[in-house]
Amino acid sequence: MNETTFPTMWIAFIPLLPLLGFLLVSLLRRKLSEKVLGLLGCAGPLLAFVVAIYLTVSLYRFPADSVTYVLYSWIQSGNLQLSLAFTLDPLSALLCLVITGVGSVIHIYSIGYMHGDKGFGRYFAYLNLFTSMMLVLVLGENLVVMFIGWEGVGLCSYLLIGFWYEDMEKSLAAQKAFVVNRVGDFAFLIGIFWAFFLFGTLSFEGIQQAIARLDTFYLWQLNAIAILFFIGATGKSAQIPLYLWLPDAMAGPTPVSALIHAATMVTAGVYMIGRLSALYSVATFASSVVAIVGALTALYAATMGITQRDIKKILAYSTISQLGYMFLAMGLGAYTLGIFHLTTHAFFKAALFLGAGAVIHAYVRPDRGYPAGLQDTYKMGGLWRQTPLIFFTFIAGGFSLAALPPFSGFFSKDPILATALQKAQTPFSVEGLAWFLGTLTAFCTVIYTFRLIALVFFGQPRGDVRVEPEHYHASYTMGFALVVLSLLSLFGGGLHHTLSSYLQPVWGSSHHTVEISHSVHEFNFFLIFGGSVIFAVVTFYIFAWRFAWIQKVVRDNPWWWWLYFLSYRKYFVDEVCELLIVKPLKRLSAALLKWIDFFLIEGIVNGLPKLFLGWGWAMRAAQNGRVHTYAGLILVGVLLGLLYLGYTIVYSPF
Amino acid sequence: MYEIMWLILGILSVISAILVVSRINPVYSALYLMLFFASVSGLFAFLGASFVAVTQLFIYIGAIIVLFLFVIMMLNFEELKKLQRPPLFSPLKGLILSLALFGLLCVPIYFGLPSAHPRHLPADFGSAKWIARDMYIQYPFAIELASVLIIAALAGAFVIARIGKKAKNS
Amino acid sequence: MSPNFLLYIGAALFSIGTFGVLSCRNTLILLMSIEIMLTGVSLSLVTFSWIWANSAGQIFVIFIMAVAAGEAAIGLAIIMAFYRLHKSVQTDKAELMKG
Repeated sequence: MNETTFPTMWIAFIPLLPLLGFLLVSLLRRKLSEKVLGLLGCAGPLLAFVVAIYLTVSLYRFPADSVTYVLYSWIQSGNLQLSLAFTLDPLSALLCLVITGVGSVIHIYSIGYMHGDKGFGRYFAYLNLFTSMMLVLVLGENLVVMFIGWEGVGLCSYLLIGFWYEDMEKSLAAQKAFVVNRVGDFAFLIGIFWAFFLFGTLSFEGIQQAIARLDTFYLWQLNAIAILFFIGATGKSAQIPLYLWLPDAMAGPTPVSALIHAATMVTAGVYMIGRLSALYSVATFASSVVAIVGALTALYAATMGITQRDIKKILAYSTISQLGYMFLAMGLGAYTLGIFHLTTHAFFKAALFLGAGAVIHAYVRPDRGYPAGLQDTYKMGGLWRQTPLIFFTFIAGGFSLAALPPFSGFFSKDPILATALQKAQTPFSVEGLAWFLGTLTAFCTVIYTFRLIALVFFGQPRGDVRVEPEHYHASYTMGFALVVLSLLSLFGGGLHHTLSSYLQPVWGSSHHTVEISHSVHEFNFFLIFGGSVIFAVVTFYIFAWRFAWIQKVVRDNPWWWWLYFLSYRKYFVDEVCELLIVKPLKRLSAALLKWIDFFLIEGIVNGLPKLFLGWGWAMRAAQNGRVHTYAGLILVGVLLGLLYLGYTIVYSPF
Repeated sequence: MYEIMWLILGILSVISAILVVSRINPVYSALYLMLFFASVSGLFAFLGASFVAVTQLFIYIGAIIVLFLFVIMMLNFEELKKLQRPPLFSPLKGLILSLALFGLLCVPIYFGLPSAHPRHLPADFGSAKWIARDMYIQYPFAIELASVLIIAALAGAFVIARIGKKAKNS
Repeated sequence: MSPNFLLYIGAALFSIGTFGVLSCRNTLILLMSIEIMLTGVSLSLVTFSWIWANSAGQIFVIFIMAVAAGEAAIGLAIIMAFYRLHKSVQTDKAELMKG
C-alpha cells in the first residue's frame, strides 16, 4: 500500500456525517415525525462509526503511522500557515471510535429517553453537532482546528445543559458551565499564541519537531505553555480549580450527561495532553503539576461524591474524580494508561449514566404517566426486583467504576497506581503523593459506588413515587444501549495490551514504558483489591440494610455531622466563589455596563447616526434645487482647482 | 494702431458684457449682447483672424441674437418686463466669486506668459484657406463630430420645445 | 501694449459671464451670460493663435461656435418648455431637485 491507496478523503467524512445530520435534523425538525427524526439523528454518528472502523482498519494495515487530509489551506499570513486539516493516527482513530461508538449508542438510547419531548428534533440536532465538533477536536491537525472543536463542544455543552431553558435553574447552570469554561479557554488561547511565538508553527507534528530542536534555555517557556494548556484542560475536563460547572451541568438530559459530561467532551483535556505528549514529556514541571492536580481532584471530588443524594450528582463527582485519575496518569507520563482509562471510563460511565437515566425514567408519577424527574437516591430503593435489566447493567458499570476485577475499570486504574508506586523514589515525591492520593481515592470510589447501588437498588422503597415497569420496558432502544455499554464495560479491559502496542507509535520517544516489578505489582494489587472489597462489603451492608442507623449516627455525632455537612455542601466552595469572585465581578460588570456600554458604546453607536444626520442636514442646504447654488458650488470647485494650478505655476522650478 | 484698437474694443466689450448681465429687461440685454459680439468680432479682426471675425458676426449676431430676440418675442413680453431682480444667489456672493475667479485666472497669465511677443505671422494668417487647410487635415474627425452635434442639437431643440405643448394638451 | 492685455480682457469677460450665471434670475440673461463666457474663451484662444502664429486656436474657436450655436438652440428650447410649464422664466421656479 502506498499513500495514494489510503482513503484519505474519508477522514473528512467522520466529522462531516454528523454535521450533515445536524443540518438535516435542524432544518427538518418541524416537518418530520419523531421516528424519522430519531433515525436521521442516529444515522450521522452510526455512519461515522462505520467510516471510523473502516479507516482504523486501513490505518492498521498502512505502513505510515499517521495520515493527514488537508481540506483546504485556511490562513496564510506571514509565518502562519494554517490549513483545515485532519490527522488520523492511532490516538485519534481510537478516540474517533470511542466517540462515534459510544455516541451512537447514546443517540439510540436518546430515542427512547427523549420520546415525547417537544424539543426532540432540537435535541438530536445539538447532539449531532456535538459529535461533529468533538470529532473535529480529535482529528484536528493543528492547535487551531483543535480549538474550533474545543469551542464547538463547549457551545453544544452549553446548549444541551440548558436544553430545558424554560427552567431558570437549568439556564443558569448552562451559563455557569459556559463562563467557567471561558476562563480555561482564555488560558488555552494564550497557550496557542505563545506556542506559535515559540515554535513558529501550530501543527502538532511541527511542534513535536520544534521541541526536539529546542534549546534547554526555553524550558521555562515550554513549562509555561504546558501549564497554560493544562489550565484550559482544567476548564474543559473539570479539574481543580475549574471543576465547579460539572456538577451543575447535570441539569441537562441524562444522555447528554453520559455523552458530553462523562464519556467524551470532558476527556478532551486528557486527549489534548496525549496529543501534546512531546511537550509534556519535556516540560517535567508542568507534568508534575498535572499529576498532582489530577490526584488532588480525584480525591477531592470523590470525598464530595460520598455524601451526595442526587443520583446524577454522585456520578458527576465520580466523573471529576476519574478524570483526575486520567490526568494523574498523563502527568506521570503514562500516556497509554491515561488514554486507556479514558476509553474504559467512557464505557462504564456512559453505562452508569444511561442506567441512572433509566432509573429516573422508571419512576413515573402515577397520575400523569410521565417521568417524575426523581433523582434523589434517598427516595429510591429496592429497585432491583422491578427493573432487573437496569440493575444488571448498572452493576456492570458500578463494579467497573469501583475497579473490581474482572471489570474494565480495574485494568485501567490498577496499572496507573502501580506505575505511580513504581516510579516513586521517596514517599514525598510527586509520584509517591500521587499514588497515596490515588489509593485513597480508589477506596472513596468504592464507598460511593456501593452506597449508590445499595441506595437505589436495595433496601425498602422510601419515596412516594412508584415504579411503572411497563413504562420502562416500553423502550427497546434504551435497553439495547444499556446492554451494549454494560458489555463493553465488562469486557473493555481486554483491550489493554492491544491498545498499548497500538498507541505506541503516537508517543514516539516521549513515552517510556515503566517496567512494573512483580513485588510492586502484587503489593499494589492486594492493597487496593483487599481494601476495595472490605470497603465495598461494609458500605453495601450499611446502606442496604442499616440506612436508618447510619443516618442517626451521623446526625447525633457532631464530628461526623460536620464532616458530612462539609462534604454534602461541597466544602462551601460555591458559596466562597460567589462571595469572592462572582459578586465583585457582578459589581464590576454593572460599572462597566454603566460607563462603557451606556456611555461610551451607546455614545458612539448613537453618535454616528447623529453625526451623519447633522452632516446630511448641513449638506441638504447644497441640494436646494436652485441652479445658482449648483453653479456657485461648481465655481467654488473650479476656484480650488485654479488655486492649485496657480500654486504649481508660481512655485514651479521652471 | 493695433494696440489702440485692442484697447478701445477690449474696454467696449467689457462694458457691454457688464451691461448685458445687469439689465432687467432681456431685450436690452440682447441688444447689448449684439454690441458685445460686434466688439469682440472687431478684436478678432484686429488680431488678424479675419475669417473667425466674419464667422463670429454671421453666427452670433446673424443667428443667435436673432434667435434670442425671437424667443423673447414669443414669450409673454409684459411679464418679462415686470421682472425684478431680487438676487437669488446674492450678487455680493456672485461678485466675490467671480472676482476671485478673475484673480485666479490672472495668475497664470501674469506668471505663465511673462514675455508674450508676436512671432512672424504667415502671409495668409487668419484667412479661410489657412484655417481650412489645417482644420481639414488635422481635425477631420472633430468636424464630423461637430456636424453630428449640430444635427443632434437641432433634433433635441425640436423635441424639447414640444415638451410643454404635450403637457398642456394632456 | 502686449497681447497679454487681450488675455486679461478674455479672463474679465469669462468672470463677468460667471457673475451673470450666478446672479441672474432671468433664464434668458443666464443663457446670454453663458455666451459671454464662451466668447471670452474664444478671445483668449484667438489671442494665443496670434501669439504663437498657430492655427489651432482659431480652429478651436470655430468648434466653439458650433457648440455655442447648438447650446443656444437647446437652451432656448428648454426656456420655451420651461415657460410653458411654469408660466415664467424665473430660475427659482426650477426646484424640483430640491433635497
